[in-house]
Amino acid sequence: PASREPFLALPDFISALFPSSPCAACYTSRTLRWQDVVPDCSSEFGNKFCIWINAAPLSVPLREQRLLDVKLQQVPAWIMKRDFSPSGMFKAVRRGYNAYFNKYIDVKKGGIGGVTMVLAGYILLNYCAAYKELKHERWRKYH
Amino acid sequence: MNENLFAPFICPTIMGISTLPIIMIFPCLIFTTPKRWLPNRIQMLQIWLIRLITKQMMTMHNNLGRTWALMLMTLILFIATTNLLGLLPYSFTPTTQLSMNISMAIPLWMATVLLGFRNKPKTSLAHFLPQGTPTLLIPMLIIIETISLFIQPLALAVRLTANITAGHLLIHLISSAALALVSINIVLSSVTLIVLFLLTILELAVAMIQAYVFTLLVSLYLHNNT
Repeated sequence: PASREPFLALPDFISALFPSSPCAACYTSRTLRWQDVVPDCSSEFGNKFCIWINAAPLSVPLREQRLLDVKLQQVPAWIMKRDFSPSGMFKAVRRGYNAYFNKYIDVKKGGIGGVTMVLAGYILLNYCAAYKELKHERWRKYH
Repeated sequence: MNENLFAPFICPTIMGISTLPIIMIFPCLIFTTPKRWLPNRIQMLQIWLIRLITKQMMTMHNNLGRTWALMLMTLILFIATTNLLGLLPYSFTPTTQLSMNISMAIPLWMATVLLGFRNKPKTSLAHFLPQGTPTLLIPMLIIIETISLFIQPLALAVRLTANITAGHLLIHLISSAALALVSINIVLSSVTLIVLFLLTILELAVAMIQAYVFTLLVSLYLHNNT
């Protein structure tokens, strides 16, 4: 792929100077991108500061993938690999809480939307808990 | 209809697991700790509110009474939030349960009484007899004051329970009446809806006032004993 071309600061007329060089058209001049500076983990020169940008999903262990990167068929396997210890579950809840808080509440111009969504979820939870008694009332009215 | 009246006061469960711990911890999620020097809007509002209530409640106390500031602020915020969240549709209010209110009232009241007897025993005993009492009435008045002392935690708990439970029941009954009257007489149903609207505003006020009254009385008992 074009993104894997090595970056070389060569002039435009290099292909004319060396016409018989292999893949002469590859060594074209282009602007330096951040992908040229930060190494890709899938390359043989990957170190602990590399970024998984062009890696195929299978090269990342299933345990370390995020939910949205996992294929549908792998979702049950991904769920089984999660940490279900009390501290693991608490950490997952804490991560979810922090993600929601940082996205909707801890913003410069926060409004009522963030809190309203929480209250709507609270109402939904209470409806699910009260459904056992509510269904009799609904059935009595419509039967 | 008859069985449904008690349904909002049953502890809710999802698939056999009680959701009561989640409902009781939920107010803690709403009150967040500011991590920055200049927090976001909601946290600024929260800080302003807490400082206003603290200044209002803690000015009358001495240094020993002010050590209770965190406890009293937590109390008023918890009761007010729980009562207000109980006004949402389908929600369960823990403060309608007498068990919970007694478990809040008795330890707090007993702590104030024990504090008074430990630090100022003579002043605490002197509270059993008001000044200027006629001599003949002294035995009876001491008995009455002792009974009123032991009634205090029960009154605290029952006041909160009764107010919140009665409010919820009224809302439930009037809304059922308004719904039933829609097919019979639309004008009467509209009047009932207006009454329901006013009652909801009253319940919002009662939710906050009851929290304030509970905390104020506890702080008053503390003030008498410190």
